[in-house]
Amino acid sequence: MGHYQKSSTRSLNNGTAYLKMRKMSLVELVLFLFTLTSLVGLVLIFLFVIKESLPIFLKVGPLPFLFGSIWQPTAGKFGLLPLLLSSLILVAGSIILAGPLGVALAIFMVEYAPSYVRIGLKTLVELLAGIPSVVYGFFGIIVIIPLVRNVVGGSGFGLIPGILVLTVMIIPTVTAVAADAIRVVPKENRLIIFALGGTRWQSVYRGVLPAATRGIFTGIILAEGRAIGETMAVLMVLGNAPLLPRTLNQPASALPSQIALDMAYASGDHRTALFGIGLLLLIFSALFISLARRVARSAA
Amino acid sequence: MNPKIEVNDLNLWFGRVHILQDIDIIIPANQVTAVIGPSGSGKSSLLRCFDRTNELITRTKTTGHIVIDGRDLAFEDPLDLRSRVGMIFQQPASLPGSIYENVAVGPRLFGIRDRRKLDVIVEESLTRAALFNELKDRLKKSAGALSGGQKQRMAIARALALNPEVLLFDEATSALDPISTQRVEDLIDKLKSTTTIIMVSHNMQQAARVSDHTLFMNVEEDGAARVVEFGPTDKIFTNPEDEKTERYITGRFG
Repeated sequence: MGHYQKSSTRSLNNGTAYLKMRKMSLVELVLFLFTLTSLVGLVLIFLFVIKESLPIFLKVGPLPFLFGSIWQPTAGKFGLLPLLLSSLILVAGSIILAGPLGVALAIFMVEYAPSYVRIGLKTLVELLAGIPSVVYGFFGIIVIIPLVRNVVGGSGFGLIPGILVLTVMIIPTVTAVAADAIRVVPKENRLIIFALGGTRWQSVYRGVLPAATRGIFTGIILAEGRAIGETMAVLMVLGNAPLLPRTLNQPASALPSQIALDMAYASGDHRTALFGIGLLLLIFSALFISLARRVARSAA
Repeated sequence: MNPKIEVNDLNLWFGRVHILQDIDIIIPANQVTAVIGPSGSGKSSLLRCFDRTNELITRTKTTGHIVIDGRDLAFEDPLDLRSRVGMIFQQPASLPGSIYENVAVGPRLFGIRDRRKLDVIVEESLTRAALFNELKDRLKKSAGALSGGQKQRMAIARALALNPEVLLFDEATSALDPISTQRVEDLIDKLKSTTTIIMVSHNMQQAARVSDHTLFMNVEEDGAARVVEFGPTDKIFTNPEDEKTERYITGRFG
């Protein structure tokens, strides 16, 4: 026994040493260079954004910049709080709506729908994910804003249509990731419940969902990442007034859409402040992705 | 010998495929009946007729009757039936959550919420599955950490929590090591005082060791499975009437 174990470890060590010392083949070299390129690109983007935004942090100070309540670049006031709060409300609101809806859709697709309905829905979800965000903006202006105007009054532009448009946009992300997580749950989890006399819903609720929870939350977090960075559709329905959000039914402006609005003409401190927003968005998306990673990894 | 399950002229189709043909058997109560036969001879499909789980998976058609204690399965509520007929699968599988939750899941499906009641059921079921002493200090720990053999005995406890009259074992030991297999076999022997047991097995020695009656099934040329021979295990293994049975149990075909 001992002899066999020893010899097997030795051959394993030899194997890794062989891998390390071997010369790279051409294919490996090309793959390595490509990987390096994207990595270097990412690092450069981060460095560039930091360098461009540094002056505003030095001039205004990080805390007044992040939490100042007035955004008036022409008056030299660079407080991000109105934009930050609006963005957080948009993300929270859309996730509260899209989370349950997206997960319910995923459950229906995988556990209930007959195969032809499932294939249809899957195509639909993929299509929804591929629609350019400007088109979602049209949808918001033509369908949602008149609806909001009729139901709650006011101009219709503001956080409510923003939340609704974002909800439709991130449902595909939630659904796609959640459906994958549900699909890979072993069929035994369902059979156990069925064999005990459980209904289909009980097999989902007791057998499948507990095993898919982490995957589902990964989907929701990734969707949050998409929601916070979404620019165009949000810009088209928010009304774009960088005011502190006091109600949901008022024009507002979000972090990414403010960059898109101002970038064309901004200069000096205003320009560096926009880069500051960009840095903030980069940090947010890095946070969301590492959170999603952590949730997914703790499944093991 | 009291009959528990009477199968009269049972035929089963999956879609248009004829799976089981003219099955006519009487399963005796409180005994172990082994179902043997080559792969694809309809053993598992027959087993799933007894808890009506075939109909969950495919479009099925059944003719004939299966009668348990005088009641025809076709007219019973399938959910109620499945609570009285337990099934143990081939792969040892646990649900996410603790050992306690795994055993309590059956009663919970039928609306038992009272913690004290569940405590009693879980302890009784694990005791009947000869697992309580082994696990009593970690009932609240994850069931995923159990060994395959422990998971399989926990699956038996999970089925026992509903106090079933019939237990179906679908090759329940084929993924286990010899010692775990031995434990499950001992358990089967103990459980037959309170339940009627039907076990599908690919292991001839096991069928000969554990069962009182043996049912040998085989696929005919037309693809449908029939009963070749059914009788006391001793007789099937020492003096079979059918030549096919003899060839199968001696390992010359199948």
